[in-house]
Amino acid sequence: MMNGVCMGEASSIYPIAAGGVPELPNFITLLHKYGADPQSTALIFLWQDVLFALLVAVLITAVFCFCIRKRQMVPTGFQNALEAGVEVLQNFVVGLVGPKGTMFVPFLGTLFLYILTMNLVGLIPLMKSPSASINITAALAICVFVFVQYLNIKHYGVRGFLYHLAGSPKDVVGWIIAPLMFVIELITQISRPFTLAMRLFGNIFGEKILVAFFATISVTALFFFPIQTPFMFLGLLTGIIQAVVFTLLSTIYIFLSMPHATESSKTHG
Amino acid sequence: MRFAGNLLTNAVLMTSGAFLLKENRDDDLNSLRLAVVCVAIPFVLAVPPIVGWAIGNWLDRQANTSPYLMYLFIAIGIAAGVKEFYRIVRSLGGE
Repeated sequence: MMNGVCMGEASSIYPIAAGGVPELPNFITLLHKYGADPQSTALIFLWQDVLFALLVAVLITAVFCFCIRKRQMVPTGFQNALEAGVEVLQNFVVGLVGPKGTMFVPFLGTLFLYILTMNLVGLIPLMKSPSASINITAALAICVFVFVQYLNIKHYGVRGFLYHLAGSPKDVVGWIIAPLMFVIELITQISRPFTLAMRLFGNIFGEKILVAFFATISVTALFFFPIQTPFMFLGLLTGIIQAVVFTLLSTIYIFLSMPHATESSKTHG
Repeated sequence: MRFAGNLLTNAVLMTSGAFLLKENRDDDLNSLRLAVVCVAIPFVLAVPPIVGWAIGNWLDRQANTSPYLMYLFIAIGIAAGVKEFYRIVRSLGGE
């Protein structure tokens, strides 16, 4: 076995994704291909990204429930590890947003852990990175977008937010260029979820293709010499960096939705 | 089980120790910010013109003004990208 692939039939097992790109098999594709009745597994085959995303969510929940089942004032063992991780996340967010950032730590921390686990789970044999699907990354980006817009409206009000989008004009020149500023700001806001989703999807999908490509070469031409291993380490690095980038950009968008962010920006300018 | 917990704690503390030590936190945050800017900027600059192109193209088809609105919105998209880039760099504490 290599990456969960039976050696004898490796080339026939590697499925080809919709775009004609190589893809490592996971337990759902194998179940679909070699199961007793392919028609009964067709539904889970079609929904495999969502199923893996759910599996990751269940895994994170289970780990956290397990670690905090015997909570102590002075933490030890897994509770200690989790508290250290949460403290790191809290310092990270508060360092950027300020003391008010503490209230966003649950959202951003969940986002970070979820994306990190989704990115890394694809490196486990017979598993798949759900974040290599544009649907999953788009869903995450839309969550951030909706949350940021909610914060914008909460902080500015609907009219205040529209005024803010128009560049907060205060004089005649400001009002003249307000329509242009409004369109620019509108495109900026619309671009944000696209940027978040495309970056995460592109990087993880690219990494997945790279590993699958070299794994195919390894199986078909190099007598199973694992030349894909360096790319798996690269995938480890990419997965961590992309989770950090997604979380950090979400943190910045939340920071920019606060009224003081504009004021401090103008003061600095 | 206890040993595994301690091992995990040590791993978290070792990988994130810089954030927990006050004196190292600023340096590491700055490095992290720089890394994020490098990774994020290409998409931040590239996506708004594409969104502008899509909006302009759609408006052109509606108003039968091809290709003027597309050009206009690509230009606005470029401006939006630059504005967002500036904003991100400022929020990350770039001078």
